[in-house]
Amino acid sequence: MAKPIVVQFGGAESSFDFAKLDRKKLYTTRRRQALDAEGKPCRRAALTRDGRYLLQAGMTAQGYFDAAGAWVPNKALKAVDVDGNSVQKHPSTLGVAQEAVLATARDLLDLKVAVTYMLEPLEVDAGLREVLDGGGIVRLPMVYRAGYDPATAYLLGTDNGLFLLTGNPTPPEWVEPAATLAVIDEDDDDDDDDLDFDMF
Amino acid sequence: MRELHLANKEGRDSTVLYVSMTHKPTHRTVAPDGGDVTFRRYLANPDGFDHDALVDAHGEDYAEALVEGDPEVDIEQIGRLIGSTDDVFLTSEGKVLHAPPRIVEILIGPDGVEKERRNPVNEEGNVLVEHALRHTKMRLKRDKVVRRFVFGRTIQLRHSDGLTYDFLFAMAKELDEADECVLIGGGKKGRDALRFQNNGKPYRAFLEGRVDGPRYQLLLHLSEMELKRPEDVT
Repeated sequence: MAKPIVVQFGGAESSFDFAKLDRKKLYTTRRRQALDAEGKPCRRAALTRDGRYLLQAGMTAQGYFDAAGAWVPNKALKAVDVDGNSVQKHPSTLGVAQEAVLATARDLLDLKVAVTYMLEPLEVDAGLREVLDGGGIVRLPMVYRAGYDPATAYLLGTDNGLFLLTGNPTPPEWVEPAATLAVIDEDDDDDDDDLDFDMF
Repeated sequence: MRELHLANKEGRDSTVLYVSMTHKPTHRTVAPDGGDVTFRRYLANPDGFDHDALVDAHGEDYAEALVEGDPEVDIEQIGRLIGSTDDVFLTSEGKVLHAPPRIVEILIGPDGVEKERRNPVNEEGNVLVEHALRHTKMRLKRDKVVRRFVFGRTIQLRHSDGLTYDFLFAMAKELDEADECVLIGGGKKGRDALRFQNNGKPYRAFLEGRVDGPRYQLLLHLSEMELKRPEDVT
């Protein structure tokens, strides 16, 4: 069983058990299946462009290769930021108290939700309970498995219980107004009602 | 930028631009010496070196053969990088299919049980067609909409000229002042889910507006799931 999600809010800790929610658990889903002439299911495969290999499930793997074409084991890989500075891996946040702050619905609308969790309270502090029952939303960092890019999570209560939505923020840019043409000054002395038709 | 055909709540329509909101990674992966690396697919287990082939060559108990001679490894092939490939279908007997297969659509319930098999129906994209996307009567406060739907994708609408600026800015302003999101529908009746490409994933879409002086943000939040629990989970 996974470690709980632990939230620290207002100096007090609360913890939650969790289960992943996806649309397959809620709705009928559709899948397309290819059938051969006998009506039996086909399998997908990949044919290399030179026709040499017919690649079926389990025949290939993926990995990182350096400029010389040598395989680099995942454990040896490093991460750097845009300036080339080394980036440290973030440990998993499960079982470790994470500082939560108040957030707004608009903040949550800026989140590109990747994973949704249903929460079951194990121990909930009265202060956090009051915020959630009152329609509040709190934000906290979330790292399921150690990695370089921590997710952002929002905890909120609904009529269907408590949920944690995790993903990456994608704040939109402001769209500037279109360039508009200058309005012609009606008091301009050069502007009169005589239209020049000599030019035609 | 792509285009979509949108009407405002008065029913006046225009073609506007949109971009998908994407997360920019904060890091990139490098080799131990800081050099660039590329992520590639390679041959790991070529045909003829799997369990069945080893059983044929060495019998059921081939453990000793593995220790002595590495017969499961073909050093000429393993590690070979795979470039572009073409998708093919294999028959149930593992032979390449040279004629198009018949496609069936299988419906699977939340309990994991197959409910129905049927011929697939071609569903066309509906965001840039004759019938503009329309405002429905369903309007929800921002605070409510985040409690009812999960938004896994957002697109931002942008104007292409002065007229479409006025058109989109007015929409953003009205929604922002009301603190509301409006459900946008497609199709002839303006009630269908949005489909951005033929046979693409259908989304329920809520339009949200924000303004700051003359600047605006008009966001179409796309959802394929409600924020609720499965029936068998309390």
